[in-house]
Amino acid sequence: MITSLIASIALGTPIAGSVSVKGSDTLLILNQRWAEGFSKVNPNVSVDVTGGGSSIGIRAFINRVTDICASSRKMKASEVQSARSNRGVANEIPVALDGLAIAVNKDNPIKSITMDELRKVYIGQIKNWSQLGGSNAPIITFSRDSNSGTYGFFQEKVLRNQNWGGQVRFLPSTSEEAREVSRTENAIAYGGVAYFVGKPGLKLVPVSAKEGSEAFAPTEANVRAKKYPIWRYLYYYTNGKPTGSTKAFIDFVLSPAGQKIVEQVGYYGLN
Amino acid sequence: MKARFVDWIMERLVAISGISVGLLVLSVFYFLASESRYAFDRKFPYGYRIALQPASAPSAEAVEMDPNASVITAHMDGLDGLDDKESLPMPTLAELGGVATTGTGSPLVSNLSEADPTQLTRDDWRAWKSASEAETFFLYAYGTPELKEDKVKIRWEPDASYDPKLGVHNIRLKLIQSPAGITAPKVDVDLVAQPSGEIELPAWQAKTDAERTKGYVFKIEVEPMAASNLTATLGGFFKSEWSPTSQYPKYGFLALLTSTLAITGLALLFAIVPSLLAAVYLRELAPRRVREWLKPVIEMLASIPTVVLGYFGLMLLAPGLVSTFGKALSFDSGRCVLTASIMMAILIMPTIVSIAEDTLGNVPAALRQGGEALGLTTMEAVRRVVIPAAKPGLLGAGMLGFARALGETMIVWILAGGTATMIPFSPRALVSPVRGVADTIGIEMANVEFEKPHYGHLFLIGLVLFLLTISINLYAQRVSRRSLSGV
Amino acid sequence: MATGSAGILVLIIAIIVGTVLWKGLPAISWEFLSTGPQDGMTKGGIWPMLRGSILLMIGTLILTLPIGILAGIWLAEYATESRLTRAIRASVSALAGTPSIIFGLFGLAIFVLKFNLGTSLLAGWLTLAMYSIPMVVLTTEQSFKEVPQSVEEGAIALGLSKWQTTWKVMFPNALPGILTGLVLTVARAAGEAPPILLTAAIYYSTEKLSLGWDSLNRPVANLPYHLAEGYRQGGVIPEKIIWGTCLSLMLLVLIVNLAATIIRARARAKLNW
Repeated sequence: MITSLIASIALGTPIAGSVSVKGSDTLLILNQRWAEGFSKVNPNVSVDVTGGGSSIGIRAFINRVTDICASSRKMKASEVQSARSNRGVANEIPVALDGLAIAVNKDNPIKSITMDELRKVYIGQIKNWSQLGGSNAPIITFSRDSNSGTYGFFQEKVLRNQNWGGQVRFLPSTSEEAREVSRTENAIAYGGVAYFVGKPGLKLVPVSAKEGSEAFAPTEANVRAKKYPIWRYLYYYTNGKPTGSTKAFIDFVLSPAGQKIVEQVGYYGLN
Repeated sequence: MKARFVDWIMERLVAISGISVGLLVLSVFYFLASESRYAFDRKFPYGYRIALQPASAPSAEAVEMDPNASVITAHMDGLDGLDDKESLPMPTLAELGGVATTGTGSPLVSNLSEADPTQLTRDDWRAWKSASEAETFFLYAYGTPELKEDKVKIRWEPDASYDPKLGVHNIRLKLIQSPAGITAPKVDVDLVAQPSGEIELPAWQAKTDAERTKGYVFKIEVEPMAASNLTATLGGFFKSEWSPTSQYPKYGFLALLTSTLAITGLALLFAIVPSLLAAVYLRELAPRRVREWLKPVIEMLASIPTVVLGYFGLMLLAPGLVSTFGKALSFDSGRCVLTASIMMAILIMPTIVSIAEDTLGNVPAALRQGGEALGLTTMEAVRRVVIPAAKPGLLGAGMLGFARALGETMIVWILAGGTATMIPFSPRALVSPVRGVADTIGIEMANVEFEKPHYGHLFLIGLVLFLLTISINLYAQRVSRRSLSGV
Repeated sequence: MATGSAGILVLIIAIIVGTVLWKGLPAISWEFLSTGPQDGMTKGGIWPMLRGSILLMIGTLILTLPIGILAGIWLAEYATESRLTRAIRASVSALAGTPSIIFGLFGLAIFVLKFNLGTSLLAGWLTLAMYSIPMVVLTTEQSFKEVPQSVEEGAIALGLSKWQTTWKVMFPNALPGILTGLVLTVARAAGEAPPILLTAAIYYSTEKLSLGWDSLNRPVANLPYHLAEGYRQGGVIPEKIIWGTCLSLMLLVLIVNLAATIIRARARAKLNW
């Protein structure tokens, strides 16, 4: 890789080499699309994309086996430390913005929900829609399974790290959740906005940060303005400032073309 | 000469290979066990809210604490940004009787005039300690000038998601200092036996910041209950709740084990009779030419990758079951015990058929002919003579099928629903979403922090699964051997 | 009733194989097998996955072959009946029944983390070899034992040494059985997702698929992992491609199986016992 890099600089030809991106399953689709888009501009750079989860990516980063770690959570202090002692300064680069939408069946009369109510629904304290101003029917809760970064984020942000209630059903993907919600009258689910928008049979519930405060729908404007309460950044980590083909790839990711892919996949671009 | 040298080399090589393969089982065991050690690095969390309130304040429902509040160790390190609240003049250790402390709680309000009179002082307190660690800290409690009542109460409650019964520490709350001139009742509460409650005390007001430490001082003592972290971790392991990613992580693997056993047992139930009958057909009834092509065809089923079987179950069996029995059994999703065990039965049938057929073949022809000589028909001879003779071997075949299903990952992952809770002991069990042992490893390993307790626990459940399948396999071998030597 | 049961079994096989064929065949074309995924995995083919599975299979075969066969020979011909050999034989056959996810864990702990191979083809080979060796040992031993005693006695009577008898006389006779066992085991390993989930698999790469020493350090896409991800990412990879992948994986395994069966039948026909 180094020799080809030197060659490319010396000859002034387009860059060559390889970049590996590893980590978050939430970012996997995005990484893959970016790699595909990038290879059309730079066919001589090979980009490897692996999922497995944020922790797998972080571990690989610390062990120097990946150039870029894709993570849907911030690195923990202990991880930053072991990265520093083993490799170098972990350089954090936000690459996309993500909002999680709350979906219910289209016939559900509920108008909005607070963060606290949402937490109680998922930890099993609120079990009936009537407690939320809906009809008298049990709430059927759906979640992503623990494989996904979305699960971890929801548990941290909404459940505030409390236990999931015993009746929560864990599904492998957000599109499965969408399918279940549209055909189950009393269901509720969460997931990336893009997976729900335009799906028949369900509607997205506005969420308010506190009781009494205004509820916002998960629209692009509200997520960007941070008015909608359930949002997060998705990150890349590189070893110090990126160089060579890694830099070229990240430049592409942050370029208008790269950020357009973000919108296509269903997350929000940075600008 | 040369040939003999080659002989010598090859014979050594052969022996080395044989013995190293024999050692393979030990090395698998060793690495699973050695990575499991991270499970025993775990720290056990506890979380209480202890507050001083006016006596008339309503008793709240179960408290849910601010997740970022007073993680004592972090608090002391100043990592959580609460440093500004620690600028209180603390009494020296000598003034408090020289008790060694590892952390000290503080009132949440730092400016007396900002205090909310209904919640004068309080402390949300959560910490993680290994089972052998002790902790002592102090809580200063006082009223502000705005306090109107002449009685206050000290109130304590566990964090809503914390179950004190699952803790491994003895925790006591003691009043060790009362304000000058006030005689207060004795406060010495076991927070594990009595996780929530309140005790009334005479009111006392701190007029200035400096006076705050002159009021009530409570001491909270945390002492190890279990002998060691090892026993405490194992104690937590043999419980039924598996929620490794929550604030108060629980690593009880019995729910996973029960689900695996349920799916596997049910699969065996579905598979055993048709498999044995098919084996009888193959060995006793089928014309030779039919047997010659039928056995490979059935064994072909065993070679279909399990991911493919999982997909088949997901796309066809699950929706099929829902549309046929959904109303009658009132289940909404096809991902449940029933679907997984049907698919699992299909997976293990060829294994059972194949081994059972071999076992039947090992029954000496003399026995069979003897039966027929007594005037029995073929089927009668099979039933009265051959099957009893082959019984241990048939049992062994069933057990090998069971062991095969026990460790199956993809079918359970795709079809069982993924909920890590205890399977109910009722007919609803059939349609409950569950998660088993092997698929939990597959699902969670990707998202754990390596070499941390959660990682260690996944190896620990792997180790249990390994020992379980090994013992069943060994036992099945013994049983089958007895069957061969017994006749 | 027994006949009925066998019939049901055949019916189940027919339904499963039939469904996969019916759903998967429309997806399969030369294009599908020879190109990589495109448009965010929604179009194109599965060549990188097919290639990865074949690579995994070949490497596993190469690693399993010597040690599996030598150890099998030891158990069949050299190991004297003792408590130790009984223990070894028992542990090998117990290991042969050990769940594949356990080997995945084992591979993660040693090859990926301890030896620091990372997720790579090499780590995948080693893990799958560990998974395959016990079964190959057992089938090798079995094949040796199936060679009639008279063959061995005859060779020794001719004055051949123990090793010469084993290698020149017994081995050729046992070879068909050994090969069949080897091929079947490796085919089974190639269809397993759990061992390579954490040790060798990659979701997507834009690399030009060349082969060299460097390939050993690189993770590979492969069919079972593609299916596992297809399930995990739900809805990203279209159903048609998934069924096509199912069919390709099933055919890959079945074709290898069929080949093994034919080899065995041919070789058996040549041997004269």
